[in-house]
Amino acid sequence: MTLLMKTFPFARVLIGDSYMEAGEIAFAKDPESKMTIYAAEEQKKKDRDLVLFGKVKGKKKHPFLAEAILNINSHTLRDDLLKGHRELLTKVLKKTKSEILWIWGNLDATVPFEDNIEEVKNWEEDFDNFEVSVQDRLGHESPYENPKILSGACVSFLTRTLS
Amino acid sequence: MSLQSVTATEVFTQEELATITACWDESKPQGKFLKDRHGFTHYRLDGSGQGPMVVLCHGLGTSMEAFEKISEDLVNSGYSVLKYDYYGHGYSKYGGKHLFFAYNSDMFVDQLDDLLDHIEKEEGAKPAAICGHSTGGIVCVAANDRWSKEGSKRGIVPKLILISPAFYAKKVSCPRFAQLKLIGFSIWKKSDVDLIVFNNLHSSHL
Repeated sequence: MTLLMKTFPFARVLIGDSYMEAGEIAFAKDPESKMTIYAAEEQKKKDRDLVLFGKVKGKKKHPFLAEAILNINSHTLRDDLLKGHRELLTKVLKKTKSEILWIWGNLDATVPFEDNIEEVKNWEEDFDNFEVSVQDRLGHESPYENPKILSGACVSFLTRTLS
Repeated sequence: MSLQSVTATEVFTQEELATITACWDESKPQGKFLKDRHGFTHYRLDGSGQGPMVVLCHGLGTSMEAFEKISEDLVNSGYSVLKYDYYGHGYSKYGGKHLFFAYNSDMFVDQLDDLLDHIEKEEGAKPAAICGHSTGGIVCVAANDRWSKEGSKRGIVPKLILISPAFYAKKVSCPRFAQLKLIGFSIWKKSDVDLIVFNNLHSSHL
């Protein structure tokens, strides 16, 4: 893939296209109406992405972003590497006393909540230093969707555990 | 290597800086720049010296800007907040000659490690917590794994907050653009790893 992108720079447009395509499920959708819950926030991010990936007439794309996304996808986020990241998390939980809070929107479709919450909940039972905070009606882009909810959860955890 | 504070004009060509600034609605870099072992890191420390320091690691394809409101809330709650951009994101830049490089979890931790060394030296602050969104969640865990190893110069960070960490991905058959272009692509090159990466691009909001 990298060779293709190196050889044919015009093909790099695919990286931005696929990033934005993936973005179509990144914001929470109401399970009943299928409408985006935080529509204004989603539009704002879409508008920014269009600029960053050079889709706005008269504006140049970000000079490094598409390539950086491919680099990270190839070397950190590849499907076959994700299991190793999960194993590292359980290793860190076993080996260290660091306390870990996992905040997860129950409408996250990018890191699929429904399919995986059971395994994560099991870690909560297995490790005293791990807790899950499920946030109702948030998707994957929660820092954009409702930062107040996130900062509230962060401050609550930090206040409780740092005191 | 020695870490060194630099200015935006030492990091970017004029054209690069103008292009990136235009991408951000003509908003100039809001933070400072550090020359580190792999490149140049754009970072910002808010509420310095105010209270325990929380480090924020953003998700793929975004920047420290994603944490603007959360950062404000944390500062208002008495924390100091360090946020930064990954290489190739926001105003950070990889220092190598090529745009394509092995951006693995080790490189993410190297960048964070160098930044924390610099902040400790300049501000005397150590992190009390690291909070990572999506890809940032992987960074948090990989960092504490490295720092928990015997002989590590840095100790573990006592609190980690993982927001929708990218430990799972949506199973996809094929992105739409790939459905259209896969035939042509496969003539060019077809290997298992390439197809994994190709498919994985569909999950690229991690």
